[in-house]
Amino acid sequence: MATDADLLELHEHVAAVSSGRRSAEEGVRLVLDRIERLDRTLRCYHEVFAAEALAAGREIDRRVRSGEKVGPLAGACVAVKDNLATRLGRTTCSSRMLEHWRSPYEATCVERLVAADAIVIGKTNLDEFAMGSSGEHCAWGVIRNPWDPRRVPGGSSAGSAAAVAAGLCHVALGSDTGGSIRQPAAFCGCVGLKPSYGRVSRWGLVAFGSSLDQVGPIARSVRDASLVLEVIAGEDRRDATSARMPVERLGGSLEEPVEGLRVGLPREYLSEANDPAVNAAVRRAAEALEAAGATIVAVDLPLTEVGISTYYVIAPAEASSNLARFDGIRYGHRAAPVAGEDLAELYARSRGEGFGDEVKRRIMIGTYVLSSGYYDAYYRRALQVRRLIAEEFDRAFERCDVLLGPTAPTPAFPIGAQQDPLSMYLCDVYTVNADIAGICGISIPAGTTAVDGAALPLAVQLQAPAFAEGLLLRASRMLEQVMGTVGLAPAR
Amino acid sequence: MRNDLAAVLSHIDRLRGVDCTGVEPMNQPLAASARGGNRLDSDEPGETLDVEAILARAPVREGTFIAVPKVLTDGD
Repeated sequence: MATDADLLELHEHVAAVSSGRRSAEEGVRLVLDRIERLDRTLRCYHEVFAAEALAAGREIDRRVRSGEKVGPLAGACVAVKDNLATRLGRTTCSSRMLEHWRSPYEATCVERLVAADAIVIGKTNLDEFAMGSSGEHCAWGVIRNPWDPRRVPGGSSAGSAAAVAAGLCHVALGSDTGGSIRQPAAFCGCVGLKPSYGRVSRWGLVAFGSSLDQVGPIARSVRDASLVLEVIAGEDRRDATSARMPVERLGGSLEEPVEGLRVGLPREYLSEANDPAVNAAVRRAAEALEAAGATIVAVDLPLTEVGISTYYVIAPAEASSNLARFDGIRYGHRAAPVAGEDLAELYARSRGEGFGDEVKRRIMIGTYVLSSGYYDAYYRRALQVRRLIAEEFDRAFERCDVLLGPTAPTPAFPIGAQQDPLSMYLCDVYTVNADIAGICGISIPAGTTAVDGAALPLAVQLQAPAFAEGLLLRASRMLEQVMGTVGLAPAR
Repeated sequence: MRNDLAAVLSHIDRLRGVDCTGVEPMNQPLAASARGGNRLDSDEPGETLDVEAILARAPVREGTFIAVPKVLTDGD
Protein backbone atom coordinates (compact mmCIF):
# COMPACT_ATOMS: atom_id res chain seq x y z
CA MET A 1 0.00 0.00 0.00
CA ALA A 2 1.46 3.32 -1.08
CA THR A 3 1.62 6.15 1.46
CA ASP A 4 1.85 9.95 1.25
CA ALA A 5 5.62 9.76 1.52
CA ASP A 6 5.65 7.87 -1.80
CA LEU A 7 4.51 10.90 -3.78
CA LEU A 8 7.79 11.55 -5.54
CA GLU A 9 8.77 14.65 -7.44
CA LEU A 10 7.94 14.36 -11.12
CA HIS A 11 11.47 13.58 -12.34
CA GLU A 12 11.94 10.84 -9.73
CA HIS A 13 8.52 9.35 -10.48
CA VAL A 14 9.12 9.32 -14.24
CA ALA A 15 12.54 7.66 -13.80
CA ALA A 16 11.01 5.03 -11.50
CA VAL A 17 8.07 4.31 -13.83
CA SER A 18 10.23 4.18 -16.98
CA SER A 19 12.60 1.67 -15.40
CA GLY A 20 9.78 -0.49 -14.04
CA ARG A 21 10.65 0.19 -10.40
CA ARG A 22 7.25 1.79 -9.82
CA SER A 23 3.84 1.30 -11.33
CA ALA A 24 2.27 4.25 -13.16
CA GLU A 25 -1.17 2.92 -12.21
CA GLU A 26 -0.22 2.89 -8.52
CA GLY A 27 1.08 6.44 -8.94
CA VAL A 28 -2.31 7.51 -10.29
CA ARG A 29 -4.07 5.69 -7.43
CA LEU A 30 -1.94 7.51 -4.86
CA VAL A 31 -2.79 10.90 -6.38
CA LEU A 32 -6.51 10.03 -6.65
CA ASP A 33 -6.53 9.00 -3.00
CA ARG A 34 -5.00 12.31 -1.95
CA ILE A 35 -7.54 14.22 -4.07
CA GLU A 36 -10.34 12.24 -2.40
CA ARG A 37 -9.06 13.16 1.06
CA LEU A 38 -7.91 16.75 0.58
CA ASP A 39 -9.78 18.37 -2.29
CA ARG A 40 -13.11 18.61 -0.50
CA THR A 41 -11.56 21.52 1.43
CA LEU A 42 -9.13 22.90 -1.14
CA ARG A 43 -11.38 22.72 -4.25
CA CYS A 44 -8.47 22.63 -6.69
CA TYR A 45 -10.30 20.45 -9.21
CA HIS A 46 -13.49 21.04 -11.15
CA GLU A 47 -13.28 17.60 -12.72
CA VAL A 48 -11.11 14.53 -12.07
CA PHE A 49 -10.63 11.83 -14.73
CA ALA A 50 -10.13 8.86 -12.41
CA ALA A 51 -11.07 5.97 -14.72
CA GLU A 52 -9.25 7.38 -17.75
CA ALA A 53 -6.12 8.17 -15.71
CA LEU A 54 -6.00 4.67 -14.18
CA ALA A 55 -6.40 3.14 -17.65
CA ALA A 56 -3.60 5.35 -19.01
CA GLY A 57 -1.39 4.28 -16.08
CA ARG A 58 -2.10 0.59 -16.76
CA GLU A 59 -1.22 1.04 -20.43
CA ILE A 60 2.12 2.69 -19.56
CA ASP A 61 2.89 -0.16 -17.14
CA ARG A 62 2.12 -2.70 -19.86
CA ARG A 63 4.43 -0.94 -22.32
CA VAL A 64 7.25 -0.77 -19.77
CA ARG A 65 6.84 -4.50 -19.00
CA SER A 66 6.94 -5.41 -22.67
CA GLY A 67 10.11 -3.39 -23.16
CA GLU A 68 8.53 -0.64 -25.31
CA LYS A 69 10.00 2.84 -25.15
CA VAL A 70 7.97 5.31 -23.07
CA GLY A 71 7.95 9.11 -23.25
CA PRO A 72 9.93 11.62 -21.16
CA LEU A 73 6.97 12.22 -18.80
CA ALA A 74 5.84 8.60 -18.46
CA GLY A 75 3.32 8.25 -15.65
CA ALA A 76 3.41 11.89 -14.51
CA CYS A 77 -0.03 13.01 -13.30
CA VAL A 78 -0.71 16.46 -14.78
CA ALA A 79 -3.39 18.87 -13.62
CA VAL A 80 -4.59 21.16 -16.42
CA LYS A 81 -5.94 24.65 -15.82
CA ASP A 82 -9.54 24.72 -16.96
CA ASN A 83 -8.94 27.45 -19.56
CA LEU A 84 -6.99 24.94 -21.68
CA ALA A 85 -9.08 22.89 -24.09
CA THR A 86 -9.10 19.16 -23.43
CA ARG A 87 -10.99 16.43 -25.24
CA LEU A 88 -11.62 14.82 -21.89
CA GLY A 89 -14.28 16.46 -19.74
CA ARG A 90 -15.39 20.06 -19.93
CA THR A 91 -13.47 23.29 -20.49
CA THR A 92 -15.28 25.88 -18.38
CA CYS A 93 -12.79 28.68 -17.57
CA SER A 94 -14.54 28.49 -14.16
CA SER A 95 -17.38 30.48 -15.72
CA ARG A 96 -21.13 29.91 -15.94
CA MET A 97 -20.71 31.05 -19.54
CA LEU A 98 -18.94 27.76 -20.36
CA GLU A 99 -20.43 25.55 -17.63
CA HIS A 100 -21.33 22.72 -20.02
CA TRP A 101 -18.78 23.36 -22.78
CA ARG A 102 -16.96 20.34 -24.19
CA SER A 103 -14.15 21.25 -26.53
CA PRO A 104 -14.08 19.49 -29.91
CA TYR A 105 -10.27 19.74 -29.92
CA GLU A 106 -7.33 19.64 -27.53
CA ALA A 107 -4.77 22.35 -26.71
CA THR A 108 -1.35 21.74 -28.31
CA CYS A 109 0.43 21.82 -24.95
CA VAL A 110 -1.90 19.12 -23.59
CA GLU A 111 -1.47 17.03 -26.75
CA ARG A 112 2.30 17.26 -26.33
CA LEU A 113 2.13 16.22 -22.67
CA VAL A 114 -0.01 13.20 -23.53
CA ALA A 115 2.32 12.31 -26.41
CA ALA A 116 5.14 12.34 -23.82
CA ASP A 117 3.10 9.79 -21.79
CA ALA A 118 1.97 12.19 -19.10
CA ILE A 119 -1.48 11.44 -17.66
CA VAL A 120 -4.12 14.20 -17.45
CA ILE A 121 -5.58 13.72 -13.97
CA GLY A 122 -8.12 16.56 -14.04
CA LYS A 123 -9.05 20.17 -14.74
CA THR A 124 -8.23 22.82 -12.14
CA ASN A 125 -10.27 25.81 -11.00
CA LEU A 126 -9.19 29.36 -11.75
CA ASP A 127 -10.32 32.92 -11.35
CA GLU A 128 -13.00 33.17 -14.03
CA PHE A 129 -11.42 33.49 -17.50
CA ALA A 130 -8.03 33.87 -15.72
CA MET A 131 -9.01 37.29 -14.36
CA GLY A 132 -7.96 37.58 -10.73
CA SER A 133 -5.04 37.27 -8.33
CA SER A 134 -6.59 35.25 -5.50
CA GLY A 135 -8.67 32.27 -6.60
CA GLU A 136 -11.77 33.92 -5.15
CA HIS A 137 -13.37 34.73 -8.52
CA CYS A 138 -14.23 31.17 -9.53
CA ALA A 139 -17.88 30.46 -10.39
CA TRP A 140 -17.63 27.10 -8.56
CA GLY A 141 -16.51 28.60 -5.23
CA VAL A 142 -13.36 29.88 -3.53
CA ILE A 143 -10.15 27.83 -3.92
CA ARG A 144 -8.08 27.46 -0.73
CA ASN A 145 -4.37 27.56 0.07
CA PRO A 146 -3.14 24.15 1.29
CA TRP A 147 -0.65 25.82 3.66
CA ASP A 148 -3.52 27.59 5.43
CA PRO A 149 -7.07 27.03 4.13
CA ARG A 150 -8.12 30.38 5.62
CA ARG A 151 -5.93 32.04 2.99
CA VAL A 152 -6.05 32.40 -0.78
CA PRO A 153 -3.83 30.31 -3.05
CA GLY A 154 -3.28 33.29 -5.37
CA GLY A 155 -4.49 33.44 -8.93
CA SER A 156 -5.51 33.06 -11.48
CA SER A 157 -3.96 29.54 -11.77
CA ALA A 158 -5.23 28.93 -8.25
CA GLY A 159 -6.25 25.28 -8.48
CA SER A 160 -3.11 24.36 -10.42
CA ALA A 161 -0.75 25.84 -7.81
CA ALA A 162 -2.73 24.53 -4.84
CA ALA A 163 -2.89 21.04 -6.40
CA VAL A 164 0.89 20.92 -6.87
CA ALA A 165 1.52 22.18 -3.33
CA ALA A 166 -0.91 19.68 -1.77
CA GLY A 167 0.43 16.73 -3.76
CA LEU A 168 -2.77 16.29 -5.78
CA CYS A 169 -0.71 15.88 -9.00
CA HIS A 170 2.95 15.71 -9.99
CA VAL A 171 2.85 18.91 -12.02
CA ALA A 172 0.30 21.36 -13.39
CA LEU A 173 -0.20 23.65 -16.35
CA GLY A 174 -1.11 27.26 -15.76
CA SER A 175 -1.40 30.37 -17.89
CA ASP A 176 0.14 33.76 -17.17
CA THR A 177 -1.23 37.05 -18.54
CA GLY A 178 -0.14 39.36 -15.70
CA GLY A 179 1.36 36.94 -13.17
CA SER A 180 -1.19 34.12 -13.06
CA ILE A 181 1.44 31.34 -12.97
CA ARG A 182 4.10 33.00 -10.81
CA GLN A 183 1.97 34.62 -8.10
CA PRO A 184 -0.07 31.51 -7.10
CA ALA A 185 3.15 29.46 -7.29
CA ALA A 186 4.67 31.97 -4.82
CA PHE A 187 1.66 31.81 -2.47
CA CYS A 188 1.69 27.99 -2.52
CA GLY A 189 5.44 27.30 -2.32
CA CYS A 190 5.83 25.96 -5.87
CA VAL A 191 8.07 26.73 -8.80
CA GLY A 192 6.07 28.66 -11.43
CA LEU A 193 7.56 29.39 -14.84
CA LYS A 194 6.18 31.95 -17.29
CA PRO A 195 7.97 31.31 -20.56
CA SER A 196 8.75 34.08 -23.05
CA TYR A 197 5.93 35.28 -25.29
CA GLY A 198 5.89 32.88 -28.23
CA ARG A 199 7.76 30.04 -26.49
CA VAL A 200 4.71 27.79 -25.91
CA SER A 201 1.80 27.41 -28.33
CA ARG A 202 -1.47 29.00 -27.20
CA TRP A 203 -3.59 26.84 -29.51
CA GLY A 204 -6.43 25.67 -27.27
CA LEU A 205 -5.83 28.28 -24.57
CA VAL A 206 -9.00 30.35 -24.17
CA ALA A 207 -7.81 33.84 -25.14
CA PHE A 208 -7.72 36.61 -22.50
CA GLY A 209 -5.00 39.10 -23.49
CA SER A 210 -3.58 37.85 -26.77
CA SER A 211 -0.42 39.96 -26.72
CA LEU A 212 0.31 38.78 -23.15
CA ASP A 213 -0.95 35.19 -22.58
CA GLN A 214 1.58 32.38 -22.13
CA VAL A 215 1.22 28.78 -20.93
CA GLY A 216 3.73 27.35 -18.47
CA PRO A 217 4.34 24.74 -15.76
CA ILE A 218 3.78 24.91 -12.00
CA ALA A 219 6.00 22.29 -10.35
CA ARG A 220 7.63 21.19 -7.12
CA SER A 221 11.16 21.83 -8.34
CA VAL A 222 13.11 23.70 -11.01
CA ARG A 223 14.07 20.41 -12.61
CA ASP A 224 10.42 19.34 -12.94
CA ALA A 225 9.47 22.70 -14.47
CA SER A 226 12.35 22.39 -16.92
CA LEU A 227 11.31 18.86 -18.00
CA VAL A 228 7.75 19.98 -18.70
CA LEU A 229 8.81 23.14 -20.55
CA GLU A 230 10.97 21.08 -22.92
CA VAL A 231 7.91 18.98 -23.83
CA ILE A 232 5.39 21.81 -24.34
CA ALA A 233 7.67 24.47 -25.91
CA GLY A 234 8.32 24.98 -29.59
CA GLU A 235 6.73 26.00 -32.84
CA ASP A 236 3.15 25.07 -33.62
CA ARG A 237 1.64 25.61 -37.06
CA ARG A 238 -1.73 26.26 -35.41
CA ASP A 239 -0.45 29.26 -33.41
CA ALA A 240 0.94 32.00 -35.65
CA THR A 241 2.53 33.66 -32.61
CA SER A 242 4.54 30.58 -31.62
CA ALA A 243 8.22 31.22 -32.23
CA ARG A 244 10.36 29.22 -34.61
CA MET A 245 13.24 29.40 -32.14
CA PRO A 246 14.80 26.02 -31.28
CA VAL A 247 13.95 24.61 -27.84
CA GLU A 248 16.97 24.35 -25.59
CA ARG A 249 17.47 20.85 -24.10
CA LEU A 250 19.15 21.38 -20.75
CA GLY A 251 19.54 17.78 -19.54
CA GLY A 252 22.43 17.49 -17.10
CA SER A 253 23.60 21.07 -17.75
CA LEU A 254 20.73 22.27 -15.54
CA GLU A 255 22.94 21.27 -12.60
CA GLU A 256 25.90 23.29 -13.83
CA PRO A 257 26.17 26.72 -12.16
CA VAL A 258 26.22 29.67 -14.58
CA GLU A 259 29.78 30.89 -14.53
CA GLY A 260 30.12 34.61 -13.78
CA LEU A 261 26.34 35.03 -13.38
CA ARG A 262 25.41 38.71 -12.98
CA VAL A 263 22.24 39.17 -10.94
CA GLY A 264 20.52 42.54 -11.21
CA LEU A 265 18.74 43.75 -8.07
CA PRO A 266 16.44 46.64 -9.03
CA ARG A 267 16.14 49.27 -6.31
CA GLU A 268 12.41 49.61 -7.02
CA TYR A 269 11.79 45.94 -6.18
CA LEU A 270 12.68 46.27 -2.48
CA SER A 271 9.87 48.74 -1.80
CA GLU A 272 9.00 49.61 1.78
CA ALA A 273 5.39 48.81 0.90
CA ASN A 274 6.35 45.11 0.66
CA ASP A 275 5.89 42.78 3.61
CA PRO A 276 9.24 42.85 5.48
CA ALA A 277 9.45 39.03 5.25
CA VAL A 278 9.30 39.34 1.45
CA ASN A 279 12.18 41.82 1.30
CA ALA A 280 14.17 39.67 3.72
CA ALA A 281 13.64 36.65 1.42
CA VAL A 282 14.93 38.64 -1.58
CA ARG A 283 18.04 39.68 0.40
CA ARG A 284 18.64 36.07 1.48
CA ALA A 285 18.35 34.95 -2.14
CA ALA A 286 20.87 37.62 -3.22
CA GLU A 287 23.30 36.41 -0.56
CA ALA A 288 22.72 32.79 -1.57
CA LEU A 289 23.46 33.55 -5.21
CA GLU A 290 26.54 35.53 -4.23
CA ALA A 291 27.74 32.59 -2.15
CA ALA A 292 27.24 30.39 -5.24
CA GLY A 293 29.58 32.64 -7.23
CA ALA A 294 27.24 35.23 -8.73
CA THR A 295 27.82 38.99 -8.72
CA ILE A 296 25.01 41.26 -7.53
CA VAL A 297 24.53 44.39 -9.66
CA ALA A 298 22.34 47.33 -8.61
CA VAL A 299 20.02 48.36 -11.44
CA ASP A 300 17.16 50.84 -11.86
CA LEU A 301 13.72 50.04 -13.26
CA PRO A 302 11.86 53.32 -12.60
CA LEU A 303 8.87 52.25 -14.72
CA THR A 304 8.12 49.29 -12.43
CA GLU A 305 5.12 50.94 -10.79
CA VAL A 306 3.52 52.37 -13.91
CA GLY A 307 3.39 48.79 -15.23
CA ILE A 308 0.11 48.30 -13.35
CA SER A 309 -1.55 51.21 -15.15
CA THR A 310 -0.18 49.98 -18.47
CA TYR A 311 -1.33 46.42 -17.86
CA TYR A 312 -4.82 47.40 -16.70
CA VAL A 313 -5.33 49.21 -20.01
CA ILE A 314 -3.84 46.64 -22.40
CA ALA A 315 -5.19 43.46 -20.78
CA PRO A 316 -8.82 44.63 -20.37
CA ALA A 317 -8.75 46.14 -23.89
CA GLU A 318 -7.71 42.80 -25.36
CA ALA A 319 -10.11 40.91 -23.07
CA SER A 320 -13.08 43.05 -24.12
CA SER A 321 -12.32 42.16 -27.72
CA ASN A 322 -11.63 38.45 -27.09
CA LEU A 323 -14.68 37.91 -24.88
CA ALA A 324 -17.03 39.44 -27.45
CA ARG A 325 -17.29 35.93 -28.90
CA PHE A 326 -19.30 34.83 -25.86
CA ASP A 327 -22.68 36.08 -27.00
CA GLY A 328 -24.81 33.01 -26.34
CA ILE A 329 -25.33 32.26 -30.00
CA ARG A 330 -22.87 29.67 -31.32
CA TYR A 331 -21.80 28.12 -28.03
CA GLY A 332 -21.75 28.73 -24.31
CA HIS A 333 -24.58 29.99 -22.12
CA ARG A 334 -27.72 31.36 -23.80
CA ALA A 335 -30.36 33.03 -21.63
CA ALA A 336 -33.84 31.47 -21.71
CA PRO A 337 -36.00 32.90 -24.51
CA VAL A 338 -38.28 35.86 -23.80
CA ALA A 339 -41.12 36.65 -26.21
CA GLY A 340 -40.50 39.67 -28.40
CA GLU A 341 -36.83 39.97 -27.41
CA ASP A 342 -34.39 41.02 -30.13
CA LEU A 343 -30.86 39.74 -30.75
CA ALA A 344 -29.06 42.52 -28.86
CA GLU A 345 -31.22 41.92 -25.79
CA LEU A 346 -30.42 38.21 -25.96
CA TYR A 347 -26.66 38.98 -26.11
CA ALA A 348 -26.96 41.29 -23.11
CA ARG A 349 -28.95 38.84 -20.98
CA SER A 350 -26.73 35.88 -21.88
CA ARG A 351 -23.61 37.84 -20.93
CA GLY A 352 -25.25 39.28 -17.85
CA GLU A 353 -26.08 35.77 -16.60
CA GLY A 354 -22.92 34.06 -17.85
CA PHE A 355 -20.14 36.39 -16.66
CA GLY A 356 -19.14 37.11 -13.06
CA ASP A 357 -18.43 40.58 -11.66
CA GLU A 358 -14.67 40.67 -12.24
CA VAL A 359 -15.06 39.67 -15.89
CA LYS A 360 -17.76 42.32 -16.40
CA ARG A 361 -15.54 44.91 -14.75
CA ARG A 362 -12.64 44.16 -17.09
CA ILE A 363 -14.83 44.16 -20.18
CA MET A 364 -16.16 47.59 -19.17
CA ILE A 365 -12.65 48.97 -18.55
CA GLY A 366 -11.55 47.52 -21.88
CA THR A 367 -14.39 48.95 -23.94
CA TYR A 368 -13.95 52.31 -22.19
CA VAL A 369 -10.22 52.64 -22.94
CA LEU A 370 -10.85 51.62 -26.55
CA SER A 371 -13.75 54.02 -27.06
CA SER A 372 -13.53 56.92 -29.45
CA GLY A 373 -12.18 59.98 -27.66
CA TYR A 374 -10.31 57.92 -25.05
CA TYR A 375 -8.34 55.61 -27.34
CA ASP A 376 -5.33 57.93 -27.66
CA ALA A 377 -5.32 58.99 -24.01
CA TYR A 378 -5.45 55.43 -22.66
CA TYR A 379 -4.86 52.61 -25.13
CA ARG A 380 -2.35 54.21 -27.48
CA ARG A 381 -0.50 55.73 -24.56
CA ALA A 382 -0.33 52.37 -22.75
CA LEU A 383 1.22 50.84 -25.86
CA GLN A 384 3.82 53.63 -25.90
CA VAL A 385 4.66 53.04 -22.22
CA ARG A 386 4.84 49.34 -23.04
CA ARG A 387 7.71 50.05 -25.41
CA LEU A 388 9.46 52.14 -22.76
CA ILE A 389 9.11 49.29 -20.25
CA ALA A 390 10.56 46.79 -22.76
CA GLU A 391 13.46 49.16 -23.49
CA GLU A 392 14.08 49.60 -19.78
CA PHE A 393 14.45 45.81 -19.43
CA ASP A 394 16.78 45.76 -22.47
CA ARG A 395 19.05 48.33 -20.82
CA ALA A 396 19.01 46.42 -17.51
CA PHE A 397 19.96 43.19 -19.30
CA GLU A 398 23.04 44.89 -20.74
CA ARG A 399 24.31 45.07 -17.18
CA CYS A 400 23.06 41.73 -15.80
CA ASP A 401 21.95 38.27 -16.95
CA VAL A 402 18.92 37.86 -14.69
CA LEU A 403 16.87 40.16 -12.45
CA LEU A 404 16.08 39.18 -8.86
CA GLY A 405 13.14 40.48 -6.86
CA PRO A 406 9.89 39.53 -5.15
CA THR A 407 7.13 37.67 -6.99
CA ALA A 408 4.42 39.39 -4.93
CA PRO A 409 4.53 42.15 -2.29
CA THR A 410 3.12 39.85 0.43
CA PRO A 411 2.70 36.17 1.25
CA ALA A 412 -0.78 34.65 0.79
CA PHE A 413 -3.45 36.95 2.25
CA PRO A 414 -6.65 35.86 4.05
CA ILE A 415 -9.73 35.04 2.01
CA GLY A 416 -11.86 38.19 1.69
CA ALA A 417 -9.02 40.55 2.71
CA GLN A 418 -8.80 42.41 -0.62
CA GLN A 419 -12.22 43.93 -1.01
CA ASP A 420 -11.70 46.55 -3.69
CA PRO A 421 -10.46 45.61 -7.17
CA LEU A 422 -7.72 48.25 -7.32
CA SER A 423 -5.90 46.95 -4.25
CA MET A 424 -6.10 43.45 -5.76
CA TYR A 425 -4.64 44.76 -9.05
CA LEU A 426 -1.74 46.39 -7.19
CA CYS A 427 -0.63 42.91 -5.98
CA ASP A 428 0.54 42.24 -9.56
CA VAL A 429 3.17 45.01 -9.54
CA TYR A 430 6.19 42.66 -9.80
CA THR A 431 4.76 40.27 -12.37
CA VAL A 432 2.92 42.30 -15.05
CA ASN A 433 5.98 43.86 -16.63
CA ALA A 434 7.44 40.52 -17.77
CA ASP A 435 4.18 39.89 -19.65
CA ILE A 436 4.12 43.43 -21.02
CA ALA A 437 7.67 43.04 -22.36
CA GLY A 438 7.36 39.35 -23.32
CA ILE A 439 10.40 38.23 -21.30
CA CYS A 440 10.49 35.06 -19.16
CA GLY A 441 10.13 34.90 -15.39
CA ILE A 442 10.03 32.28 -12.68
CA SER A 443 8.90 32.18 -9.06
CA ILE A 444 11.04 30.09 -6.72
CA PRO A 445 10.25 29.16 -3.10
CA ALA A 446 12.36 31.01 -0.53
CA GLY A 447 11.50 29.42 2.80
CA THR A 448 8.45 30.05 4.94
CA THR A 449 7.27 32.67 7.42
CA ALA A 450 5.03 32.04 10.45
CA VAL A 451 1.74 33.97 10.25
CA ASP A 452 -1.29 33.32 12.49
CA GLY A 453 -0.01 29.92 13.53
CA ALA A 454 0.63 28.70 9.98
CA ALA A 455 3.86 28.44 7.99
CA LEU A 456 3.33 30.42 4.77
CA PRO A 457 5.65 30.05 1.77
CA LEU A 458 7.82 32.97 0.70
CA ALA A 459 9.12 33.33 -2.83
CA VAL A 460 11.46 35.27 -5.05
CA GLN A 461 11.29 35.91 -8.77
CA LEU A 462 14.01 35.73 -11.39
CA GLN A 463 13.47 37.30 -14.81
CA ALA A 464 15.58 36.87 -17.95
CA PRO A 465 15.49 38.18 -21.53
CA ALA A 466 13.10 36.65 -24.08
CA PHE A 467 14.07 33.08 -25.01
CA ALA A 468 16.74 32.87 -22.30
CA GLU A 469 14.79 30.12 -20.46
CA GLY A 470 17.91 27.95 -20.35
CA LEU A 471 19.86 30.59 -18.48
CA LEU A 472 16.86 31.39 -16.28
CA LEU A 473 16.40 27.76 -15.27
CA ARG A 474 20.10 27.20 -14.56
CA ALA A 475 20.21 30.33 -12.39
CA SER A 476 17.01 29.14 -10.67
CA ARG A 477 18.58 25.76 -9.98
CA MET A 478 21.62 27.51 -8.42
CA LEU A 479 19.27 29.35 -6.11
CA GLU A 480 17.21 26.26 -5.33
CA GLN A 481 20.33 24.28 -4.45
CA VAL A 482 21.25 26.83 -1.81
CA MET A 483 17.77 27.75 -0.51
CA GLY A 484 16.05 24.38 -0.89
CA THR A 485 12.40 23.72 -1.68
CA VAL A 486 9.62 24.02 0.91
CA GLY A 487 8.21 20.55 0.22
CA LEU A 488 4.52 19.65 0.10
CA ALA A 489 2.03 21.61 2.18
CA PRO A 490 1.09 19.84 5.41
CA ALA A 491 -1.83 17.46 4.70
CA ARG A 492 -4.93 18.31 6.73
CA MET B 1 -19.12 48.78 -9.31
CA ARG B 2 -19.29 52.44 -10.39
CA ASN B 3 -16.91 53.42 -7.56
CA ASP B 4 -14.56 50.52 -8.33
CA LEU B 5 -14.28 51.59 -11.95
CA ALA B 6 -13.68 55.23 -11.02
CA ALA B 7 -10.81 54.19 -8.73
CA VAL B 8 -9.25 51.98 -11.42
CA LEU B 9 -9.53 54.69 -14.09
CA SER B 10 -7.97 57.26 -11.79
CA HIS B 11 -5.02 54.88 -11.21
CA ILE B 12 -4.69 54.31 -14.95
CA ASP B 13 -4.40 58.10 -15.35
CA ARG B 14 -0.84 57.80 -14.06
CA LEU B 15 0.10 56.93 -17.63
CA ARG B 16 -0.20 60.66 -18.37
CA GLY B 17 2.83 61.27 -16.16
CA VAL B 18 5.14 59.35 -18.50
CA ASP B 19 6.82 61.31 -21.30
CA CYS B 20 5.97 59.41 -24.49
CA THR B 21 7.07 62.01 -27.02
CA GLY B 22 8.09 60.29 -30.24
CA VAL B 23 7.59 56.76 -28.82
CA GLU B 24 6.16 54.26 -31.28
CA PRO B 25 3.30 52.18 -29.76
CA MET B 26 4.18 48.52 -29.17
CA ASN B 27 1.26 46.22 -30.00
CA GLN B 28 2.91 42.98 -29.00
CA PRO B 29 6.12 42.15 -27.20
CA LEU B 30 8.13 40.48 -29.91
CA ALA B 31 8.48 41.67 -33.45
CA ALA B 32 7.82 38.87 -35.95
CA SER B 33 11.49 39.01 -36.93
CA ALA B 34 12.47 38.07 -33.37
CA ARG B 35 10.26 34.98 -33.54
CA GLY B 36 11.72 33.75 -36.81
CA GLY B 37 9.56 35.74 -39.22
CA ASN B 38 5.89 35.71 -40.14
CA ARG B 39 4.39 32.32 -40.71
CA LEU B 40 2.39 32.05 -43.90
CA ASP B 41 0.69 28.76 -44.64
CA SER B 42 0.37 27.53 -48.18
CA ASP B 43 -3.11 28.18 -49.57
CA GLU B 44 -4.29 24.59 -49.37
CA PRO B 45 -7.22 23.14 -47.45
CA GLY B 46 -6.10 21.45 -44.25
CA GLU B 47 -7.72 19.66 -41.36
CA THR B 48 -10.91 21.36 -40.15
CA LEU B 49 -13.28 20.76 -37.27
CA ASP B 50 -16.28 18.54 -37.95
CA VAL B 51 -19.38 20.64 -38.77
CA GLU B 52 -21.69 18.26 -36.90
CA ALA B 53 -19.47 18.47 -33.79
CA ILE B 54 -19.70 22.26 -33.87
CA LEU B 55 -23.46 22.39 -34.50
CA ALA B 56 -24.04 19.92 -31.69
CA ARG B 57 -22.53 22.48 -29.30
CA ALA B 58 -24.81 25.37 -30.31
CA PRO B 59 -27.35 26.33 -27.60
CA VAL B 60 -30.30 26.19 -30.04
CA ARG B 61 -30.13 24.54 -33.42
CA GLU B 62 -32.58 23.96 -36.26
CA GLY B 63 -31.30 21.36 -38.70
CA THR B 64 -28.00 22.60 -40.04
CA PHE B 65 -28.57 26.11 -38.67
CA ILE B 66 -27.98 27.85 -35.35
CA ALA B 67 -31.28 29.45 -34.32
CA VAL B 68 -31.45 33.09 -33.13
CA PRO B 69 -34.32 35.48 -32.37
CA LYS B 70 -35.78 37.36 -35.29
CA VAL B 71 -33.22 39.93 -36.44
CA LEU B 72 -35.25 41.89 -38.98
CA THR B 73 -38.52 43.42 -37.82
CA ASP B 74 -41.51 44.25 -40.01
CA GLY B 75 -40.35 47.85 -40.40
CA ASP B 76 -36.86 46.88 -41.78
